Amino acid sequence: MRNLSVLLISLIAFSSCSLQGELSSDPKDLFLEFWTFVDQNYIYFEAKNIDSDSLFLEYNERIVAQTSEDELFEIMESFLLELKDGHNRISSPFQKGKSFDFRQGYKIHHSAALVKEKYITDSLGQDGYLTWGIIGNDIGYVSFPNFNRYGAFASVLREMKALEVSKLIVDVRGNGGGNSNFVPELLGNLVTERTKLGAYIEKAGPGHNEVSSQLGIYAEANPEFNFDIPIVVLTNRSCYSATSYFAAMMKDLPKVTIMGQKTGGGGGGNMGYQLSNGWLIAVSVSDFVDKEGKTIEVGVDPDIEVQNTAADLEANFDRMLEMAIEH
Amino acid sequence: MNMKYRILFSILFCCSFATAQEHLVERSNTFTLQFGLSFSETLDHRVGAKSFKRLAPKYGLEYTKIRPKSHSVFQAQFYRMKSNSDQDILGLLSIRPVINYAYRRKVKDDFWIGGFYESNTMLNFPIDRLKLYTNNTISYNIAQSFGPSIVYRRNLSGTNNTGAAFFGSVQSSLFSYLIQPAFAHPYPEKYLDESVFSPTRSGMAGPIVRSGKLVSVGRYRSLRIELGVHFFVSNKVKIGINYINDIFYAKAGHKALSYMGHDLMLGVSYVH
Repeated sequence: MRNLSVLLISLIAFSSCSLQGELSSDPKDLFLEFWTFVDQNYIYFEAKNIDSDSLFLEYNERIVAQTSEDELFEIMESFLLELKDGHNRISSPFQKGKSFDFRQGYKIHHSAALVKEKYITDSLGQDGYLTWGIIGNDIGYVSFPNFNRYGAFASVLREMKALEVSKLIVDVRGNGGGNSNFVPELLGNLVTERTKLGAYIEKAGPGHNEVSSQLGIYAEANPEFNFDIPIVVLTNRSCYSATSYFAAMMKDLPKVTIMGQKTGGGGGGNMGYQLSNGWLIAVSVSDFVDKEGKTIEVGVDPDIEVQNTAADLEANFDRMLEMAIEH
Repeated sequence: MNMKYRILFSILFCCSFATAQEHLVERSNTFTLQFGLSFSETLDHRVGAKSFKRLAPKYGLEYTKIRPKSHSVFQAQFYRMKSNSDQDILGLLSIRPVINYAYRRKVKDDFWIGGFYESNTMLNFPIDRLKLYTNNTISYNIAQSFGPSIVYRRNLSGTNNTGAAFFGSVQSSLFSYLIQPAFAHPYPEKYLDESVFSPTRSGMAGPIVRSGKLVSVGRYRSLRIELGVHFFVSNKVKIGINYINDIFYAKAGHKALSYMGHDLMLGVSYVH
């Protein structure tokens, strides 16, 4: 009996503990938890010259014990918008926060339908999200509306070379991103020797300066095929994230010209996290830098600047594409 | 209740059974299949600040070798726990295989003391309807641990391989080789090197293994208490019911993982 009592007491004692402890619903505690995660994990404080501590004090002042859930959500959302990063997000079970509008202040005029109806003389194919064709008699054209399912690009290059096009226009206007992880392998078709495309930098610790060394990304030349025909890459401000990576990797490759508007940037790779009240946040925790070591977070500059106007499109005239054709 | 009080309680609990016993002479090899339920709580600071409490089936097999002076047990257990993202935005899928080998020497009637090796792997996959975890789809914890182990066995009725028997065991890690992601994205530390890194995440297995840290109880501590009662239905077959309380804390770098589980397992054993 004595031993059975001890057994029961020990089972109760062991089972009654919880790892979590009491969760605070105080808005100031939740904001501190939110800010601590952002402060320790966001990679761009130094690059964007943002004083995280001052920002915390400014926003923390707005929070009192009576601050409602909606108000606290707006405060956290506003805080993230101050970082001017389209990869930062906040969501709760009742609403999704606004993302930073990287297009703000730019005039963007682009019509994929105009390109298809007026400029493509021979529509050659479609695979995944890629479509490709011929402009005029001998100019190849391939459209990347996003960076998902683009593996066919390698075979498009081979087809274009077989057709002896005089140049290839790669149109990534309006491409908001996707997965650029396989781009270096594809760009091996454009180089004849190992070529640096840029570098990743990862957050390595909680301090603002705790980052990894530059992790260089290289294109390894494809010994079986080389696409040595001039390429023009068309970009506009809507190009974000993986598309900015693509533009940065393509820039300065042999016979490649970047033409159009500065891309929207988005060099960060983000990471998700759940706050103790169940809200989800995500912030950029890695960066991509170009061959000169400059971050692409705020955009990739074109080699040649040109942009469409509203009047151009109304006149069925794609100025950017026309310049690429003439280049 | 924190870890040190749990250890003390466990030792005192086992000692409460230390009354004079009929000498138990045993020589047996036992193979056991186990199935049960595990109620667990996981707090992974790489995923969030909120813990996940889940109920899931657990599977195990065990091989026990008892000799007059020694007692060794090999255990392999597996569970897959999933919470859905219905009520909260975030769910978590966890996969946990554990391999444990303990070897003890008899020090007194019914008491064996020795040591154990354990391979404890926990893989956590956030399930997020909004795809905010696209770039940190996994949090991993791989620990190889060594430490002391105590077991107590007592016949409740009958002798040797008849009737019923009770056993209790306690083990706690002292030293571990602990592997966790470096910091933010779940790359291991040795992968963040230009000569190794690839954005396609290829070639990561070797760097994962090399990225471990040798730690002691400050960075990795675990406690496992197992209590069981077995009934011999014949002198070759027994059935048993075990309760396992299993907790660990791991923090190789900056972000900790804590786990606590209460398992109730039913087992069928063949004794030869």
